[in-house]
This record gives sequence, C-alpha cells and structure tokens, in this order.
Amino acid sequence: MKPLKIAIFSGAIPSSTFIEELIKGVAQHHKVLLFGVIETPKIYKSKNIKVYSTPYSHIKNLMYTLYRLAQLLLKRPLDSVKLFQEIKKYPRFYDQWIWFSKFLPIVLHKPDVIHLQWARDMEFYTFLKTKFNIPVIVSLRGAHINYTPIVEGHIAQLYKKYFPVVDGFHAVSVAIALEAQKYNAEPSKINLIHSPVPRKTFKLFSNIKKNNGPIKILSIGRFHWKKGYKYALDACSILKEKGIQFEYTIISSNKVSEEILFQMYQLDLVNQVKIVKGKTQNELFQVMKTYDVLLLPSLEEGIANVVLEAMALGLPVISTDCGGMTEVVKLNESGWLVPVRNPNAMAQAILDFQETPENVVNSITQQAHDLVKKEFNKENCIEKFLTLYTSVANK
Amino acid sequence: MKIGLVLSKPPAYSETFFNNKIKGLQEAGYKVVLLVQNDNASFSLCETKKAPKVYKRSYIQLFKSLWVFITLLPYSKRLVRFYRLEIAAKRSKIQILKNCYNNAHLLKANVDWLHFGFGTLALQSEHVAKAINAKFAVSFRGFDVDVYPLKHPNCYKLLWTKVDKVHGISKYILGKAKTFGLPGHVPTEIITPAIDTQLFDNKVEILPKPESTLYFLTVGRLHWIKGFIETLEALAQLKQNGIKFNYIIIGEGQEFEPIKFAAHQLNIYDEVKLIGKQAHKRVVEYMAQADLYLQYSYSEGFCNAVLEAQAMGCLCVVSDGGGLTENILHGQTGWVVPKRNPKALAEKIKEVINLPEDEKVRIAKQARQRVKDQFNLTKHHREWLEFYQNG
Repeated sequence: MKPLKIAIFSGAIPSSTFIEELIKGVAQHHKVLLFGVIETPKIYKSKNIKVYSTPYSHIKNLMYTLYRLAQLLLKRPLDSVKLFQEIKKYPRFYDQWIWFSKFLPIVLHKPDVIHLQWARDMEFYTFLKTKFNIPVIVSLRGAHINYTPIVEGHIAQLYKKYFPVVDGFHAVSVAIALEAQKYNAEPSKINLIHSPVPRKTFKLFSNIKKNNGPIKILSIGRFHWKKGYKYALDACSILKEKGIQFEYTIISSNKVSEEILFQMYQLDLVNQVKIVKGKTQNELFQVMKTYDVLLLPSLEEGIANVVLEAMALGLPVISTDCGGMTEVVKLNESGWLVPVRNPNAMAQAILDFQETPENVVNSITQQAHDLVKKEFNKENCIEKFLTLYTSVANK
Repeated sequence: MKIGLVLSKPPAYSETFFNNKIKGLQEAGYKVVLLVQNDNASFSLCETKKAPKVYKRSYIQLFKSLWVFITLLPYSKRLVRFYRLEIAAKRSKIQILKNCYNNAHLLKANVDWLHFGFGTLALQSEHVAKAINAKFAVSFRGFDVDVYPLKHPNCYKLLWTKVDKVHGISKYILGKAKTFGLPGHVPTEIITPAIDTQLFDNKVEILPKPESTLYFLTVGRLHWIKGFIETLEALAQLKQNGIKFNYIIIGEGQEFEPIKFAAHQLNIYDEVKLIGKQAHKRVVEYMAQADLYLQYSYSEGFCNAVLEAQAMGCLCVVSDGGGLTENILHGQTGWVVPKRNPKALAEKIKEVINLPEDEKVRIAKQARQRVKDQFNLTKHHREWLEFYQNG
C-alpha cells in the first residue's frame, strides 16, 4: 500500500501529549504533515514527519508565504485562484492575510487526509473539503462537544452545518458520539477510538493494602468549573460533620481558583484539604500510589485520562457519571459511580469505599486494570486510526 | 473640611450610592476631590485627579517617571516624609520608587481626610495620609476583606497600624476585618449602603406575563460568590415538583459558561433566562413584577440589589452569607436560608410561594418600610458627616 500524506492538525506545534503520540505512531506507516504555529521548537526524529509552519513574525511569514505562493502558482495555478476566493470571505485585510498564510501551506502540500483535532476549527478549515476535496476527519472530544455548543448557540449552528460534510469522526467515548449526533453527525461515520494510557502505568500495578489511618483521597486536574471541585469540597464538609478522618489532596497544574480557596475557608476545611502543584508524569504515577482512592468530581468529561491511569495503576476510583465515565467506571465492578452535582452521594461513596473489605477492593481494581489494558492500549489505538485514515482516503 | 476620596474610577451614573455621598457632603459644606486610577470624562460632580498612567514600554515609563518626579518637586517635604516612612516599614527601594510614582496624585492632594473607598486600594498607599498630614480612612465592602486576604495573607498588616478610621458596610464586614487583624482600638463605623427610596415610589408599568408561571429574579454580576449554581440546583428541584417558573438573571460576567451549562445539565435550560446587563430603570421594572427575588450568595458585604428589590415590594429569599442577614430580617422582611444548601432553598421557596396572599403583602410592606426608615439617603448623609466629624 502506498503511504498516504496525513495532516494531523491542532493549530499548534507541538500539540498535546496524546496528539504527539498519535503523530509518532502514524509516522511509522505514513507521511505526517504538521501545519500551524510553532509554540516551542521541537525536532521530530522521524523522516516521515514534515513541519510546514506559519511563522509568528510578519516579515518571516511574508517571505515564507511568497515562496509558497510561487510554488503553488507553478504547480497548480488554479488552486491559488480558489484560495484567493476563499479568503475574500474575511472582511478585514489583516485577517485575509493571516488566514491566507495559514491556509496556503495546506493547499500547497495537499494532504490525502486532514484530521482536525478540534471540532471548532471546522469554522475555518471546512473549505479544504468543500473547495479542494481533501477528506476531513474530525475528533470529538470533551468540552468542544459537551458544552461549547450548549453555551454558545452559534457553535451549535456551525456544527449542524458542517458535520454532514465530514468524512469521518473520531469519538473518544460512546457518550460523546451520541452527543455529536445531536449536531447532525452521521452515526455510521463515527469511529470510537479510545485514548491510550501510558504503558508504564500497567507495569506499576499492584494490589492495595487497607490501613486504619485517615482515608487519603486524591483528585488530579486543573482548576476549572467543569472539574466540579466545589462538589468534592461539599462532600468533604459532610464527611467532616460525620466525624470521618480524611485527607483530601488536589494536584493541579494551575493556581487554586478564588472560588475553591474561599470555599475551603468558609467550610473550615483548611486542615483537611491540601492543594499541590502539578508534577511530571513519572512523579505523578508514584504519588498516586500513595493514596487510597481517586475522586473525579467532574461535571463534564470525554473519558478522563487520570481515571484510566488510576485504574491501570490499581488505585480505586470514585467518579461522577458524567460524559463517557460510565463506559469505564462501573459500580462495584471497576469502581464507584455517583451522580453529578451530588455531594451527599459522593460522601456516601467514600464511606462505602472505606467499608469495602480489602479483598473486594482488590478484585475491583484488578477488573479495572484489565479493562483499561484491553481497551486503552496504544497499539490498538494507532491501528484504529490507520484504518480510519485509509478508509477515508481511498473513498 | 476637604475630603479626598480614593477610587479606582469615578462612580458611574448608576452608582447612586457614591454619587449621593458626594452630593451630601457638598451640601453640608465639605469640599470633595476624587482621586482615581482611571478617568471618566462624563463625571462632573466634583474635582477629579488622576494617578499617573503606568506604561508597558520601559523607555516611555522612564521618561514619564522623570516628569512625575519633577512635578513632585514642590511637594518635596511630603515626598521625603513618605520616603522615610516607607524605609521605616522596610520596603524595598524599588517598591518605594514605584509607590512614589503610583501615589503621586495623592501626595499632591491638599485634603483633611484621605479616604480609600475599597480596602485593596489602600495597599502600598499606607503612608500617604501621614506624609500629607491628612487623616487616613479606609472602607471595606466585600471582596477586599472576604476573599483578598485569603490569597494574600497579612496584606493589611501595615494598614492596620496606620489607619485612623475604618468604615465597613455591615457588621459582618467589620467582623471579618477584625479576624484579619484590625485592632480593637481603631475607631470603626458601620454605614450600610442606602438607596433613593423616592425612585421606587413611582408606579411602574407591569409587563405582561403568562399566568400560573412564577417569576424569580436575581440581579448581579455573574460571579461565583453569588451562588447561582446552587440557586439553579434548587430551582431544578422545584421543576421536579411540577412548579412552573421562569428565572431571570440580570447581569454579566465570567461565570456565564458554568451557569448556562448547569441550566442545561439540570434540565431547566428553557426556564433560566440570562438577559445580560440592563438599564437601572429596566431592573426596577423586573423587580416590580417578580414573584420572588433570590440572592443565594456564598457571601455579600451587604447587597444593594436586595435593598432595591425590597423597596420595589418584591419578596426576598436570601442566604445567610455575609451581610445578607443584616439586610433581610428572617421572617419579618423576607427569609434567610442557610448558604450552600440547595435543598433548603428549594423548600423555603416552596413554602413562601404557598403563603396566603395577605401574609406575603404583610412581609413586603414591612420590608419596604424598613428600607425607607433605615436605608434612606438622608440618614446615609448624616452618618457620613458624623464619620468625618467624629474622626
């Protein structure tokens, strides 16, 4: 099979950990083209990965753009005309210039497939499909599907207009696939591909040992309203009232929000709740293993990576039933599940967990581990993406 | 007597509270000068002096700094005094230079009182009053003593040793100031906000509304401290009990997203109307026709909106957060519900909407009367005069 030219597009180079893994994996079989703005310089070892960036500096950008335009005029003059027509829809000259310099390398190197990592980018990049006939794949993940269209009405309209044009969708969970169908995503085009969990987490798996000290509860994730920490603190307050000994730690990459800080003081939880700065992945996995249970109080998630990692490591999980979480956390099988926005249920789940005998907890963490190992491994994931790309490109 | 009021910007037309304070002082023969960080050309009630602008480009900033220091030369005695006080407080030289620059407009002011309208505004200006031989007053209103010190422990340590008089808008606020170190010997005064009750005497036109649908209202910035999420959670319970309502939120702010998403997730998306900022006249109209005004904040300094709602004869259900318990007397002028407890709020709303009509009228009347008697501008003017006289 002839290798394809696949554009994996997130707008930024390099992109998030998962997307970088995908790039690396796909480059073993096909050419990967990266477009966008270089945020921190990165050297890709694979010869199959080609970076065609749009520079930040206007002068540099002008030189790149002129050179690329000359190439396009020589190769496919008609395409340059089409591109000029496309950018006319932007009213301001400055926007026309910026968009032109971003679109031009994509049109010039014309990939066989473009994979948009963020659904919102469809607003600008769908013309690659409609005008240049480049097959488009769109990833359906987290916030972009679960709440942006609810909060911003025009985004919902946008999705409804553009989703029918898309050749294939990548959904991170069943729940998000269903959500996307509300915006006219055709079910037959949606491919469920789970995000992989780092392999080393599986190696770190061990059984838990129950002790009689205060129960050590952990949450990991940045401070953002969708993470639902407010409810976790409300649950802590209930535990405290009941006289339960516990410690609750939040590990976050960003600074504590005013709201959560205020709540800690107002509910008098300053001695029970600890806020810890983010860590490197390796440190984090070690630290996670020193806790009794991971709590995910979120209001919205695709499938939270941190839960998958905890399951792989053998850390018991209490999660809300938001988004795709119910697909991995199953009550009394692979963890403890509670409704969203319900501090009472959350506190009760913590108590239930505490009363569960060690051997039962270990059978749950074992099942959780096996589930993640089976469904969320890297090889499987890359394989599915390759199938998706080839099927779309060969249509 | 001349009073220098330090604010971040001149009060907008709608901030009747500040405007009336200024007018009241002027009527009593005081001179008032506003000392602000950002100007507003449309403000004309009194003289306004602006702080030197801080520039992003360092060479412009350097040039401007030189100029500001030249303009400070006639005030060199004050500047020296300020510098010595700052040195004595062990501030770094760089910080002192910054403070000289940022306080230049204050150092030039000829006033008997230097009154900071918000606690955080007085930070890095603690020595100015003494340097210019004025008395040093600070107002605390909410965020400045409720939230800010949590992020910046001991931020007011120096201020407490320098301030001559402290104003709080409620008992709660002064209590908070004390927990954050305000010493007992510093004179304090509670002066609550006041409203022009005459404004609310006019009959307002009632907008048409569908029968059998209740109409709830909150006015305020979309800010986490306002407890909108808990309010929505309570309302979701009402919907489950078959109660039909519309909930109107007037205001805008950062929490738009979580509020909108909560409405969706709680299945009350159609009932919750976020109508953004509205003109004061419209706000009052909404208050006139609402069945209930809700203020389920985690904390409030006092809350003007609740005063206005009472003046409009609208029944109020509020939380026990901060100064709200002083604003509403539970069972007499409205109802107070424990904060952060959506279930309790839902129960209370159900109870209130099912009260007999005459009981509702009785509470509304009492609330209106209390606002007229205790939160009127005449009383407010007198309190401010006394504040400066007894300083």
